[in-house]
Amino acid sequence: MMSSEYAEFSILKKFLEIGNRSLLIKGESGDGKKSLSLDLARTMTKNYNIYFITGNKKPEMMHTWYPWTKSFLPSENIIQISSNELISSDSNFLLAEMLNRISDTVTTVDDPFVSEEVPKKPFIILDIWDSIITDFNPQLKMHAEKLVTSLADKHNGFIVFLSDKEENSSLEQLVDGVIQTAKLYVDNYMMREIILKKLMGMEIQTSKIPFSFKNGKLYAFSNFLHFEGEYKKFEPIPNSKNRFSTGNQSFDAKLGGGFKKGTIIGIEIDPDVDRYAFVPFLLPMVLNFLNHDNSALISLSSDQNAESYLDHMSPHIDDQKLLDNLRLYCHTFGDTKSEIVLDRGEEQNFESAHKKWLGHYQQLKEKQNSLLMLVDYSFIELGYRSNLDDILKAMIENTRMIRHNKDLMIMTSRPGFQTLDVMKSACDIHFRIFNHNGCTFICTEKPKLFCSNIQTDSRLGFPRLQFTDIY
Amino acid sequence: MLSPTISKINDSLPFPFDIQNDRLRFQSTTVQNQKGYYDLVEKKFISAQKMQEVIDELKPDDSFEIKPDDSVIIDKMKKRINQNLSFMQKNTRDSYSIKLLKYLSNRLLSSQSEQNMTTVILFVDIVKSTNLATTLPPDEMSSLIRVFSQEISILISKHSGFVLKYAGDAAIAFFPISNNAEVICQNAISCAKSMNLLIKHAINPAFEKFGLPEIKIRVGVEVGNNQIVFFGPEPDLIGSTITMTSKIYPLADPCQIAIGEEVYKKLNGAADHFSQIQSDSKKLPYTNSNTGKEYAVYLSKEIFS
Repeated sequence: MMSSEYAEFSILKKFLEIGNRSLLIKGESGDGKKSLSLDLARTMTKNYNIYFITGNKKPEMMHTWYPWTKSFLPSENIIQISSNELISSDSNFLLAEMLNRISDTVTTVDDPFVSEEVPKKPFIILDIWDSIITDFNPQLKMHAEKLVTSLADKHNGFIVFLSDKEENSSLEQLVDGVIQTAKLYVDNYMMREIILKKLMGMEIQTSKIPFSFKNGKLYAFSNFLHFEGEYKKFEPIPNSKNRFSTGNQSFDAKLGGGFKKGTIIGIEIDPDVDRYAFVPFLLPMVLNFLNHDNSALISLSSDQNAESYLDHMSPHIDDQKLLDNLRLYCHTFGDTKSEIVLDRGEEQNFESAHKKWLGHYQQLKEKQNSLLMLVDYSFIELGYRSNLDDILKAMIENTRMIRHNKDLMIMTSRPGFQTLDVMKSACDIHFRIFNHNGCTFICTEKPKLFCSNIQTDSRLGFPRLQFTDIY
Repeated sequence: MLSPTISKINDSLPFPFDIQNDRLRFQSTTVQNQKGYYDLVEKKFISAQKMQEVIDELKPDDSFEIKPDDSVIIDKMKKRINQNLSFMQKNTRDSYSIKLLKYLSNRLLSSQSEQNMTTVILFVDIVKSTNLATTLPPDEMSSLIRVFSQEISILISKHSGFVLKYAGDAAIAFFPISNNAEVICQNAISCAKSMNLLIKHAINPAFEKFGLPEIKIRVGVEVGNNQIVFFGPEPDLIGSTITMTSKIYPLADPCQIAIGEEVYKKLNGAADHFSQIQSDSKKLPYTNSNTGKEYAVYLSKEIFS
């Protein structure tokens, strides 16, 4: 869904379309320069013939590593200047040779009586630039840079320089665009990003674009999007003997079939994350529990409206099942209080609130079915600040109870709250939902399982997480 | 009085006037073990075999004639038209053969720059093309015009003529007169007739297949002196003959041929196929400088619809 054509890469495509002629892609080896340049080339094949000039990639290897390039980069357009030539030849000769090979592509008249397609312009990716200019003095280097960029002008084409060198000041001044690919690490997970340094004629609003690879192609992460869809009733996913399904097949797959029974799940949510990001995590899981005649006991954030939760659930589940098996513990507004929606505001201190909470737990467990418990502890901590010790104790008590009864517990907290430290220690699996360069990610901190960009996919009729892994 | 002007190129060499040895345009070369020519203008290689195929298809042929029952010629045209229409959605430009014909025309005129040339002038345009342009999407309209222009250009060449220029849905051709004016006039009239038959039997059936509307043409023919001039980089013809032809052709009905009185005089027996316009409303308000009388225009008795 979020291919490079779809989202944030559009600024690069537009940069190419408005008539610019040259681009420098800088970055260390393995940072994705080649993939990015080929992906850009792929979007320009309607008007351009793509050429890839390389020192060490045989055409067949290029197609092995990047099989998706076969359709627009024929073998004859992969021009190899061999290592021997690079070692034994004068750099000036190599430059001349390279220009000759590009210009030496003769087209032939196939059918003299058939309308000719408008000739395509050359889109040249220079993977060999660093090797060619390695022995050049600064003056000669500038001359070579001008010569090659003028080649793009002469043929009305586009040239992409790929360079591992950090210092490229003269070339950076000469070209129309400069971008850098980089790797960085977030909690041991490797993230990739494109840094937009200069794009002539473009207004750069976001200078960094996080990306990953999917099937060898570049994949731009997007900020938090909601994909809407037609209503379709939730179809429960069976639980296995030892695991509860998350209600989301792709999430189950990441966890090896769901959460083990008796698991304590801790979710750390960074303050700048879209508050809605947690809903697609939780809702399919609750729906799956309730559809299997299990129960859910949920303590909402103080400012959340229980009605909106019920609105999400009610189309997918019988009213009777909701009545029997769901309890939402929250601050009620107006007449929202009901058998399902319980008012936390009635309790003056945490002790009485917790007592009431345990009472509902016992009541729901009378049917001997499994239960999903969810508590947002950062809001409990906010609501009962003077009872912090009791809250921390209750957290531990709850985890013990859940493990013993082989139920499932989700506890959430946020940085700056003391409940976060206890949550981290007490949970079996620690998720972190965070923002990076404007995109929302979820990763597992304990144990290290995956790190993915997340979106809300409602195309099945209810919100669920859509994952795009980072590689 | 007609004074035949003999073209050095046209007179001394057969079609295509030794163009293969024109160093300004072609270099003999071998590409992928095939002998041929590198076209310096188009930056393309054409094999000797393909070049010969082009020449064979375009060279003048006195016996060439489109007959409704001649399936070989009509099928060949249809195949070519279908092939070109299949590129309707693509970003295309003229075929190589059309560019070659245009080069031949320019080369001939350039060789006699600023001289007078006696030629038969032929105007052809698509009837009600404004309606087509306003109802068809631009890519379909350009495909229609491209196919029309290519096919009539081939016919003009087969009848010893040259395309002077295209103007949207219209084309202007000239047929240089070397010695026998009657033959050349007859060639131009045959060409006009072939154009109508081409449209009826090959172009319109193909257009129908591709969902394009059928077209009809009007053709005007006159003979006389014109001067070769350069307006910009390309040669052009100016003079009373080309001007009068532009006034004559709109008098024809769709699928009809209109000829000026100078052509009519050269036709001898073939003139029986034409009758003079009598209606005052259709008469041209000009005087023939050769006769000092009202300029007479003749319309073909046959309507080629």
